[in-house]
Amino acid sequence: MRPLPEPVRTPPDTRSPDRFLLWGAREQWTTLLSSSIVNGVYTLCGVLSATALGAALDSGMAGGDAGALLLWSGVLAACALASALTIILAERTAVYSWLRGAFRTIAVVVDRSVDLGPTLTRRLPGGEVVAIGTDDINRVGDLYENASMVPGAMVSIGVIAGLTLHAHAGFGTALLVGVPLILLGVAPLLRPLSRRHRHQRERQAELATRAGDLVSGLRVLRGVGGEQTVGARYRQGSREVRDAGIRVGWMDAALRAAQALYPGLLLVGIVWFGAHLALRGELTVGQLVAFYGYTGLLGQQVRWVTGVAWVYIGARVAASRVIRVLNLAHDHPDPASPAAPPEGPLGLHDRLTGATARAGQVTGIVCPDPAEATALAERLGRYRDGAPDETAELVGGHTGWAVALTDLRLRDLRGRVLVSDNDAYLFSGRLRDELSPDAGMPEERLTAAVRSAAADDVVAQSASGLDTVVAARAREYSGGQQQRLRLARALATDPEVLVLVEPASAVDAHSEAAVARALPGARAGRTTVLVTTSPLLLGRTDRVQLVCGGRVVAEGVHPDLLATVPDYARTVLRTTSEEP
Amino acid sequence: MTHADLPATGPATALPEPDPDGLPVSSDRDVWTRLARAGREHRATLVWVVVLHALAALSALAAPWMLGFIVDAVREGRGAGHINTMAALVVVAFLANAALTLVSVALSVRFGEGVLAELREEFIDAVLRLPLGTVERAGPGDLLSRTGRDIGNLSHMVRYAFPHLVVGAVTVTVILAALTVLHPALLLAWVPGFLLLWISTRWYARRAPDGYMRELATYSDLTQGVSDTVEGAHTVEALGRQGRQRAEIGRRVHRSYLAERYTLWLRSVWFPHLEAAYQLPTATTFLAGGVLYMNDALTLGQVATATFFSVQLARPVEQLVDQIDTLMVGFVSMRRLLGVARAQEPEPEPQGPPTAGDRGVDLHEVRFGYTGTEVLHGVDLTVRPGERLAMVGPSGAGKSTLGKLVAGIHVPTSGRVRVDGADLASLPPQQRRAHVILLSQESHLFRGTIAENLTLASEDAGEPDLWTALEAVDAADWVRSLPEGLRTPVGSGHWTPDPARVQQLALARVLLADPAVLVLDEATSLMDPRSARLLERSLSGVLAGRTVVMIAHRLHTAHDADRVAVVEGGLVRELGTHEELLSRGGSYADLWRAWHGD
Repeated sequence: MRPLPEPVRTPPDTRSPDRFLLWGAREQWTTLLSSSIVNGVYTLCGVLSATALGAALDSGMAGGDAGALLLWSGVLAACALASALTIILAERTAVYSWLRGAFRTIAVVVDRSVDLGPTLTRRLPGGEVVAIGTDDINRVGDLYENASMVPGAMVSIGVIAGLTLHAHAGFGTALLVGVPLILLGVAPLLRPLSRRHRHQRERQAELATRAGDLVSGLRVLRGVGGEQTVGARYRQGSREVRDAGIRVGWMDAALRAAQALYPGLLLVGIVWFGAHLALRGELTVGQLVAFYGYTGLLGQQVRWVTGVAWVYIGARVAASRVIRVLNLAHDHPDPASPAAPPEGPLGLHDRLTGATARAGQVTGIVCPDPAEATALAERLGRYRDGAPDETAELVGGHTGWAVALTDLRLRDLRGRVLVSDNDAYLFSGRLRDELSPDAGMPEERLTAAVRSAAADDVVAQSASGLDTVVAARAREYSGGQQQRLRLARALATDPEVLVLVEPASAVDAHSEAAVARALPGARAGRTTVLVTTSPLLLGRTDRVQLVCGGRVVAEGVHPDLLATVPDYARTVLRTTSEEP
Repeated sequence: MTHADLPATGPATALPEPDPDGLPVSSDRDVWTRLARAGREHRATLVWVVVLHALAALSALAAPWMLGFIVDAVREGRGAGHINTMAALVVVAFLANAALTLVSVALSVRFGEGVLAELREEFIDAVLRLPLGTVERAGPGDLLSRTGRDIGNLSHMVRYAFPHLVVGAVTVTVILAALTVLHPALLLAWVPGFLLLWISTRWYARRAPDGYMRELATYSDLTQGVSDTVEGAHTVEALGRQGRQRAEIGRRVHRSYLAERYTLWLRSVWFPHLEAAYQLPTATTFLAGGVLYMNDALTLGQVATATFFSVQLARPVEQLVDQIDTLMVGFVSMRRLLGVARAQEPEPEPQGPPTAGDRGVDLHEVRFGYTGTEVLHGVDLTVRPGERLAMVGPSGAGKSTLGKLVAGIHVPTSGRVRVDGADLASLPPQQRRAHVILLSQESHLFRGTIAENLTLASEDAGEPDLWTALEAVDAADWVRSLPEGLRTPVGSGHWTPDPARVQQLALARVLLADPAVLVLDEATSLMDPRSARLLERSLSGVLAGRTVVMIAHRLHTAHDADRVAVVEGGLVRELGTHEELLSRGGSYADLWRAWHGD
């Protein structure tokens, strides 16, 4: 067992769920092969045991030979020990098969998700991709774990066929016709059962969602009221799940009954037929007993094979979800012939509005319409593609050479321009790792970034300071604290161009003032764009542009604009029309 | 032993790590008591399940019995007629077995689903009675994992482990009885097997729970990693963290792998013992039967019958043992589920109406702290009836805590908080909410329509009331523009309005609940500043006459309020109207000037 995860050898085949599953089988064929062999050996131990029992009854033991009894008991015990030892290998190969299948599926999905970036969540509900990690990998793993039982089952069925045909052709034929008949007899039940199971699972999932919803909103419920209503709704859902479960229960029961009945009837037929042959002297008693044993084994093999079919159905559904992610294409593809980014300090220019951030300065951009501010920030980072004259461009500070963002390789762009808005995600893990752009950031630089973001008290209040492990989205922190952590991360990343969208909208005025004071120093020599309406932040910028109705309508330093442009004053001081 | 019967190798049965600060966990005894109650309440079904399963197990023994009969018949050269009659009888037995299996399995499912529904409904009821303070302290994580994983584990236990347990136990008993009927000495053949089973399972059961718990913890970690990757996909690209995120997932996968290796090792020791325990009895039964045959105590046919009884016994025993993991996990989950009931609020006696005269909010010498550190150091504050008070101050100063005390969510360590003359902490939630409601910046939209979300706390509100409330929070226009209007489904899985609109709906919800005192903790912080101010203005019209405490970081909120309280370091440092504070030249005045660029 080589340690996992392992690198993927060939790119996944995403043309269909079956091809994806087949690709997976090729990736781990060695494990599947060894697992099949071990399973074959294991089932053969069972066949051998039945043969031995038959031979024992025909031996001298029937005549009272104690030596024969001991000999055959010994053979039976040896079979038992052999299967006991095989089970170790069987378990190891089965688990390794599961792990390789499941982990590989995670790896390819994560790989693709990471490359897709924002496209992923725009195209698919996030829950669906996460469900791949919790649910679908199990189903794919289950398939690889169980699939190797089929060759094993086939081998033992083949051996049994050979043994019975050799002993008595008619008898062997009866067995070999009987087994597929059982398969066909149980098969019609599987489809409706799987449908009802799916229905019940959906209900169950819906109920779980409802419970999760209720718990997430518990503070509202306990604070504002509505426990009765919501509780009643849950109870109703719970009853529905119960009733659906009871309905599925009947189908399950029918399947179980059929699984016992068909092989049972086959068994009676075999023994009855064999008894007549034995009466005529065409079979020995021992052979009859061995056949009885084989029939039981065949029943077991049939159960396994139908079980694998069952698992396969689930795995196909899972695989179809996986390939849906793998087949997504990025919304912002790299251009066919990417341009080289400009050299030297960089500025940004938005062709649509004319908004410009000069290299090395802190520029404030004020949009009275919040939607316009969002759109502008998205253009500045190329998170939204429009007409060619609506794109933004990167401007070389020394040369004045401008390159449209759409002409750049996305990686080149992202490495230079960072847009940090309030939707930016805070990852789970150590605070230190989360805030540093890479693992090896010196402590003093990190603390400096934290201080500039007025987040030192956030870190100080955390249980182990920078080494505190935080939950996803930094849920344990308030909105204002999260905002400051985001800002600290953006400052620590220290990109050439940093676009901050309302970086202090949720923090208290005291901290906002602190951020405003620290920001120019923290970004000295770099280009910074502040898309904000906060007078505290704007007061510390080098230059401010007012963007209104799709154009830059005023430009200057904050105090001048405040004094001379009434629209500007209204927007940043949040005064309403009836006030002076 | 087949792989399909193995304990799930994936995170299907998940056990969360214990959280020292979390909600209580009930004792083993409570679980047994609850299970016994379920048994009592469903006694009739349970008895039927056992009886029918026993009959089914008995009828399944017809085949080996027939085999033995035929072996003897052939050896004695009896006629074909006997054999035909026998075969017909066994066919009847199998048909009966199928019918019995059908009914008994269906009945056990009915029992299981019924108990399961009762348990999860009880749990949710208990959750809905949790005191708000407990909810705030415990955080959503623990409760969410109980609601998700533990209910899942319990379902797994009740649906799979329980039937196998009953069927297994009944079948084993029936077969052992049948062996005894053949010859009591045959039971000896199973003694070594059972011993092996007992010893190895004990060894395994001591180590397995820890191993699986660790394994499942690594899987939740992995799931969290995947969910980080997906939800943070935008940020991963923005920060160029693709490689880092891949490596992180790789690390988490590796941790899962290591945890799996450990439990695999446990099973590698346990399984061969189990396998030997099931398989060896075939040999020993044959040996014992052979010895009895040679002593003329059994016929050769009976030896065959006994041997195949042993073969048939292996499967139910295996099923029984297989359920150990599921049972252990399910049991722990049940302790966690029942534990929530322990944190329930003892509903205080409803009190009479408060004495008139001292209306409004009155805090006297209030001190409060979370686990050790004191946050409020003796706050005195009076809010007059109908007054709108704004609280400002740096974060961590204790504003939100003060708000929670006013709303009766926390009880002060010393001092007193009175709202409308009543001691809130001693009121049942329904009554408390009529006095005061706290609305924080985190709001939640429930799955359901907009109308359902608004009327949570005011079921008898009519559509006109809803529109009035929506007008007051400036949300009527966009709600009206939705194709389905008030009937638009929202919440997880449906359309989710942007955070600012969610805040508007939350405000409307509170307006409909219509409390006498309203505490707004950053309730408009997610809106853009201009809309927030407009909204607060239109709100003030609707809230005229109500007492409102607004915790705000935006200075215009303070400017528009009747009075402003500056909270710093757990104390109210400045208190007065906007103009008074400006003229006083304290920290509020400094801030205001910075704001205006003076």
